[in-house]
Amino acid sequence: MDVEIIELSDDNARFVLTGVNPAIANGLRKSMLSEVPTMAIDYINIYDNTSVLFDEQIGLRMGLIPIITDLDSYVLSEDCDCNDEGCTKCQLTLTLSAEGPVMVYSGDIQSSDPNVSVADEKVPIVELKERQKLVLEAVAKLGTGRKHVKYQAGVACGYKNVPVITFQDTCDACGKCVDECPKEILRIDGDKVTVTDPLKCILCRLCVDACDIKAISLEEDDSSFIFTAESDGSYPAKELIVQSADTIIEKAKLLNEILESIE
Amino acid sequence: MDLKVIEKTDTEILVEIGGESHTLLNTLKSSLLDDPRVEVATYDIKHPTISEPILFVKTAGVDPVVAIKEASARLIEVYEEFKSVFSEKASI
Amino acid sequence: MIPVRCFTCGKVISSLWQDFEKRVAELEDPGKVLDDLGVERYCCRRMLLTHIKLLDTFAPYQ
Repeated sequence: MDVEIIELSDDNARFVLTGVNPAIANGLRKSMLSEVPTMAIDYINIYDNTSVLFDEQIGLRMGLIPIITDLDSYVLSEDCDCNDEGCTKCQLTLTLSAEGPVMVYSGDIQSSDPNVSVADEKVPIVELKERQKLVLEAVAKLGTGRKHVKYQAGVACGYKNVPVITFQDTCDACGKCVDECPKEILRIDGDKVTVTDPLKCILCRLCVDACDIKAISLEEDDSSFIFTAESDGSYPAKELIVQSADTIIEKAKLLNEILESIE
Repeated sequence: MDLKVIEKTDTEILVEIGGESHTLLNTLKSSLLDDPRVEVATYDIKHPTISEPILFVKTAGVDPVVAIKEASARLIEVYEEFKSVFSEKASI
Repeated sequence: MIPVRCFTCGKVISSLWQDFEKRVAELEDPGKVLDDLGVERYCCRRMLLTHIKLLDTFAPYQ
């Protein structure tokens, strides 16, 4: 198994994973999307809302705001000792109060835990006009993307196989494929065509169709995957990927423990 | 996770793995099939939202529970390796 | 109000709206502004491109 990182920033990652079977890669992808625990607002108490938006719409907008997830201090409410009744280990209380005329941003939300706050402070919640008011209290919980999209930390996580473009000896370097390639990764090199960056290939097969003498073949490498992962801000991208592997490991460990006990 | 053994013989097991989804079951299935002693490994989720996954394993002699345990241990190994390789490359 | 996230992929796009709105009002090319803001996928691009501000229309009837 090998990993080659193409790009890694706070909320973006692209890497090539080689030497695994498709099921392992797919497990990782699914885990990023739907199994990594993420913090999101789950319950709100509205004390005053005279804005143009209905309470429900405010609730929806609040729920979708990404919140920095700290797995060291919080646990999933169903795993918590308090039996889902709500305590400081599984819940975070946030408050928001604003009076118009003002644009209310997610940055105005006050968190009761100084270490955990909203991940993006520039999300507009509602614009308040003269004499309009919004006062509310919200409770954020950990959850997984399988339950609701607001708990989905990974945005547009996916992979594709590494493309393998090969040219037969019959290639006469006519240049038709070079003109056709939308990603401009083919180049004429003397009397043959070379691929400058196969990772940029989008598998459109326009080069294969353009070739009159069928000298190009495009295949996919079954054991190499180009992963793209993007975080919504609740985790740094690197941590999201490590956490997604961790989540599967924990599941497998739990399965083993249970099997041990039924034997 | 909520395990319910529906049927079990010396070489076959039919078990319901409650609360899990394709994420674990599909990886586990592929890991089971890597084992030459496993003849059949498959799972089914009858309805995507209301059913629990049911795993069926048939082996050539070995206890199927042992086969599942070993497959799951192999999964842990693979993802632990990924974690260490990825963390190492990402910290450069 | 602009939806908080992209309907399709879930990227948080609402935080880019004010910047986008301002720059388009200054007659910049919307496509170039989106490129500049890092909105790559067309699902997210349509969220900003096709949004119509209705809040000011509703406000007087509150």
